[in-house]
Amino acid sequence: MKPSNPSFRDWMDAHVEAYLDGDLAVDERADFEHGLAAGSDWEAELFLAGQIRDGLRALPRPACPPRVTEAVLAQVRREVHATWKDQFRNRLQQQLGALWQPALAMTVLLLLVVSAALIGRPAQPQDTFAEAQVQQALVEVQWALGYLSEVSRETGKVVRDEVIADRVVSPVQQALTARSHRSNDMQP
Amino acid sequence: MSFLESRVQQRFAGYVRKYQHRIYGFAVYFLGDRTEAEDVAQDVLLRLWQHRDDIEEERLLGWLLRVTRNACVDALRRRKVKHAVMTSDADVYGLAEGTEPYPDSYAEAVDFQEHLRRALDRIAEPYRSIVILREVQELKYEEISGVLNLPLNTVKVYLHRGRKMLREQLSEVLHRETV
Repeated sequence: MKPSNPSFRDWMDAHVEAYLDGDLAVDERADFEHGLAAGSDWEAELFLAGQIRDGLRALPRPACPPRVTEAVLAQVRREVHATWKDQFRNRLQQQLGALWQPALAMTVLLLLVVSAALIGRPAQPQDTFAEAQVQQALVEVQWALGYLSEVSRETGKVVRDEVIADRVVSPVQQALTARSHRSNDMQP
Repeated sequence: MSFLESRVQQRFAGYVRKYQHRIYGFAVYFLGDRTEAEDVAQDVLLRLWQHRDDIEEERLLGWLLRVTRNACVDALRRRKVKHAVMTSDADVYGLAEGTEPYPDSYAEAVDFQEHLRRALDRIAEPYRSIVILREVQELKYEEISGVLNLPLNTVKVYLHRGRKMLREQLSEVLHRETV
């Protein structure tokens, strides 16, 4: 292909950077150098391509502002702290979940034992009493017995008059009277 | 906190110190906006923390740059109206520090870098990523191939094509300035 051919120009144009980087194969490199020798404008293109490559490599490397990394590390610390708290809470919940049933059973058992001990304990008599207390107790016993006697007597009277007299004595008397009348009527 | 967790945090902090500038630098050149680049860097580093158990150390740089590039592409997609005028291109890339007047040669170099950066902003994907990864971040072809999941030869061809696009744009600009 001749250097004046338009497709050769396109080929040259497409391979300026590859030539500059040394990425062309040997025969391609020879073709390119042939084209380079044929036209002075390719020197200018090659120069510009070199300027661009060097310019790109010389561009400043912007430094990441400290606030960016500080924000990231602070966020990570918060996350780790929150995770640790969650883990602790979950572990505690798991432990409590496993323990609450035995703990409840133990509590109920303890309450039962304490209640049984309190209820089943016999009353403890007092060892000594004052004379006045004894007298007072005797008087109260006499009054109680007197009251009980009076109530019994009244109850007996009521039973005799209203129950036995009405429901037993009267029917028996009536029956006996009627029998005696029948006997008299049968005598000649 | 357990000893193990503390060690994990220390190791992560080490990774952050080591890779923060690469991540941020890629994002700055990809997006052309420092604030957005900060957001991307923060997002990527937090993703690293979330995936700390899934990534082997040897593949870490590739993983980080792949995630950074994807985050940048998403950020560009979200950006409804691209900033027509940035505060100052030189300032965005940290070139305009100091108040002393530049010597002529330095001023010319800064000027050329500004043109270059603007041209970089205009080339499409994946050429832009490849040019940044190769020429600015100085990654090997194999590493770029891993980051972008492209065959090695494709990476080379795309790199040359990306730089050719820059050459075409700069050629126009420089020609206009000369005229």
